[in-house]
Amino acid sequence: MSVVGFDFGTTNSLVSFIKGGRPINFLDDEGMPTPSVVCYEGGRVIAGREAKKRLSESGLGIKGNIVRSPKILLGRETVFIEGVEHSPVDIVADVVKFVCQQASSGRRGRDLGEVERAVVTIPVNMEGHRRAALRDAFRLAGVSIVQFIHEPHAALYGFLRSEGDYEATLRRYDRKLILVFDWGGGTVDLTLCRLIDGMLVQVANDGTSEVGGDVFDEAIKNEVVRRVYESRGFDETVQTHPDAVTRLLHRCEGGKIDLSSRPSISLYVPNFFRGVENEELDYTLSREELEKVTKSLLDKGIGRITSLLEAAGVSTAQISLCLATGGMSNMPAIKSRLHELFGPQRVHLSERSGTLIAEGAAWIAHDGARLRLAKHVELLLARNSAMQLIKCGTEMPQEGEVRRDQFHLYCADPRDGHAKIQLQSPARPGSDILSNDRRSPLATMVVQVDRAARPFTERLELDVEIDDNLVLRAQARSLVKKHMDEARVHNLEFGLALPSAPGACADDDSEEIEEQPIRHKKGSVLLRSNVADQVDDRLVPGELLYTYNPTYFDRRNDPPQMQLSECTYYRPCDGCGRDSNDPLCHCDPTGRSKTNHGPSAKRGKGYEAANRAV
Amino acid sequence: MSNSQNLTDDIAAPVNAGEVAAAPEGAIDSGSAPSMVNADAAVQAGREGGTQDAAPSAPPEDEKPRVKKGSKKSKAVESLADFIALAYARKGQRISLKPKTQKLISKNPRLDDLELARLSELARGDMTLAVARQLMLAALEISNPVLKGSLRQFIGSVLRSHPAFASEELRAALNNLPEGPDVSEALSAVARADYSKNSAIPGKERRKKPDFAALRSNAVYCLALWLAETRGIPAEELAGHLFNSLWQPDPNAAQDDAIRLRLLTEIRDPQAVGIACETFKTHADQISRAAEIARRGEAVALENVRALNSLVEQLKREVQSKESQISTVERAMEEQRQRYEVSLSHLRDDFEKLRSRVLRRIREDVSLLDEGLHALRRDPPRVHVMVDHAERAVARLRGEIKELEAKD
Repeated sequence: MSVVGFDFGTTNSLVSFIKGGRPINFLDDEGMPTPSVVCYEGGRVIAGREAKKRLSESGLGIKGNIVRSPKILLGRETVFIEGVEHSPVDIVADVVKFVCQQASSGRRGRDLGEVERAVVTIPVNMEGHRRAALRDAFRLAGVSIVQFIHEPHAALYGFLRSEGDYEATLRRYDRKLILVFDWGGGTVDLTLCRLIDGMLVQVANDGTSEVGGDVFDEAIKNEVVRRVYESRGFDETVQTHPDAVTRLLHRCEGGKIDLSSRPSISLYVPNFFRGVENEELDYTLSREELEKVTKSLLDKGIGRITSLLEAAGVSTAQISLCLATGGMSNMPAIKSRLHELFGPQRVHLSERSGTLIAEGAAWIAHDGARLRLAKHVELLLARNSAMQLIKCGTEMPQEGEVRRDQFHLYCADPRDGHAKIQLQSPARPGSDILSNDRRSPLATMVVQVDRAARPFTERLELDVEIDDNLVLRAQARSLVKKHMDEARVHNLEFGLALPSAPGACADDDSEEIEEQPIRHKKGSVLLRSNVADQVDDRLVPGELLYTYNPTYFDRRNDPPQMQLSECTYYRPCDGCGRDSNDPLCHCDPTGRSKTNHGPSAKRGKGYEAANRAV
Repeated sequence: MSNSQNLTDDIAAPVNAGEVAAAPEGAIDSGSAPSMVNADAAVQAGREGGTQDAAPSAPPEDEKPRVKKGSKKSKAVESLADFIALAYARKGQRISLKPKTQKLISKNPRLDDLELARLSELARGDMTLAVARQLMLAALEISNPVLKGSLRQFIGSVLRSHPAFASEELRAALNNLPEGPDVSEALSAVARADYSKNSAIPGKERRKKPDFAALRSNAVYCLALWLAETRGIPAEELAGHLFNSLWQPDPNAAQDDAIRLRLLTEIRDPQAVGIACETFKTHADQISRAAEIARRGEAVALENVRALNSLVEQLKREVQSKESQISTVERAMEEQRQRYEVSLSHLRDDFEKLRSRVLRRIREDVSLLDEGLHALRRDPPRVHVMVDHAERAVARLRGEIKELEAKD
């Protein structure tokens, strides 16, 4: 059986796979994906459309005995559904099982057989422990996850593969910015991507569940009910039939689409009210009213685009393609707003917007496209230099694989009894990272070392591994003190390596980073790393080195200014024993100690000059 | 009780061998040919390294038949017992029955018990079986079947009671039992036996080497004649068996020219050697002809093999070509099957897409119209609802029709 693409979406789930160079989507009898909804009625588990029919309100999560979009529950230990404790993993497994069973038993099922292996789509912000939980849930449902793939990457890959000339399309968008705008029933997800070195990497992303399609329907329904109550002079005591709200919600959903081609629609729900003379709901909703009701939501959704672009420092003119997916993208108002922003030529509204992500995942499974690390994982060394631990473009492990590496380090400054090991990542993706590019810390480990030891005496070991859930686990050990610390990084950033893309990124050895100070945000507190990957006196703080090797600071040896300044600043005054910056020190700045040479010559007031140098 | 036992029981009676010792006139065709016994004994003696006279040594005194001294003419042979007794009196010299005598004896061809006992006693004295061999040869010439049978029966009993044929396998051979050895093996067994160590042989310690050599050759000849007579083995085949078992020269002697020449020039009966050689020559000629025929056959067969090989090669090439064609066709079929499967899947997908879309549209529109009808049935009727719903349904259906038409 081939590996399928599995879009485990917030509102809908879909299985897709490639046969004969064409995606086949395992939609239900009405040509729709399976709703990601599960209902627990007594001992019965009802999933899919039947469960969705029981929903009378929008929103994600647990609604009575119904769970909508169970994947948002992943990461929690347990949840309670009508007082009964459930594991989120089991709930997700119920939905996955149902989706697979629907796909296999449907009319197209004979082309599929049993679903056993899948490339599964995940939101960009789904972190490592939730990915691991999702893998467990799929395993419980009898499906092994070959690879995770971010939803926008899958959508974009599906779009690129559906274009006639794949190679030409790749060339066309090489090094260009692409905005993937996924407005579905539950969430709006925006991802700004760029094709760098044959790898699709995300530059920035944003998302919200505040303006999902369901929220629109809910808003319309609430407005209609409010106006009917108002027009008929009902107060809040007037009750509705239990399923009436659900029926109205479905009518609003249909009416919303019809209003794109009609000036108004009639919303009619018989047996809506209870205990009044005329129980029916009859309301004519005009397009203007709809636009008025939904304007704020629409603005909020579109506003996300502008705020994302602003945050990334990108103008709309720099976007070469806006790929709009998700069921809401076909809403005329959204379409026209996107056209306003980017122009019709740069907006691609897929006819298959509801299936594009699953199709993309299926294409990835079919082509064997692999996830690669989008940014270097570096180790911050003493003197703020960085050492690459895992290079950008490194292929990420697939199911059952682990990528491991070990590094041997030294502690350059053990005076505080701790070696500070910080993992960091450049702010921008790609392999051409400059040494002074901005970095963001990923994790920090502190390992106890022998404070009495000389610099570079205590050795450290650092093990780094990435597992198939794309979680980085680092473990540092001090070999003399025998202390250990561990850290996990769940938010590594990944790119999708595109097969046969121009300049496809491989595990090539990029050049060593030059030792230049790394730029940091103003006002940020920085960790002063005291580990080094080689024995080099320049990495040792001046004042510490002075205690072991005073001749190093002989001016004839031309010691580095930084170490001279450190020695001057951090050593107490030879004259009065006060700190170098102590205002009570009135010692003669030109005074020389009988024993100390070099940096000690500038003790006392001389610290100011040294401070300036620092 | 076996014959040999009978014979033993009857030995007690004194045998008046002297009465038949002299050859009765007219009863024996003495012939001029030298005795084969002597010739064989000479051969055997030569084999064993000596060139002494091959005649068997004289029997011991106690075994010698008592012959009346001075009786020139013996009693005439009137019965089979007389004939046999005469043969024993001649101590292995060649004997045969004249037709007249044979006719006379045929009137009384049987041996009574007394005679049998007496003759068995005489036979015990014939340690080298020289007489038995002569009797066997004489029996070959007898035409009266009853007489022949009686004589053969006697000879059989003599052989069975002789220590040379005491072993189980040789007894089985003599009795023509199915479990017995074949001719070649039986003769070889007799020829291989070391009689000088056979304690059952009476007066063994007094015997000399030529006696044992004579015993070996006579025993072999007796058995050969017995088997030829009882199993109908032709002389040519028998000669081959004799060569294999008895006549084969000693390998050491065969390499020494002096010994070879000595042996060849000391042949006493060139006739016998001639017969043997002729037999072998005939056999060799037959084999030579057969070999020639086989060579020709081989050449023809080789030619056939070559032709068949080239045919096989040609067929192999054809098979390979056909296999290649078959695999090409299979690949094409597999590709075609896959294309068909893919095409089927795509068509099914297209159909399902269309079916599900139309089904959804119809369901939605039916639901809409149903709702409109419900509104129309209200009092007062909600006509605007029906109009709205009908318009929306019609618009959607028109859209669907347009889409379907566009697909055409």
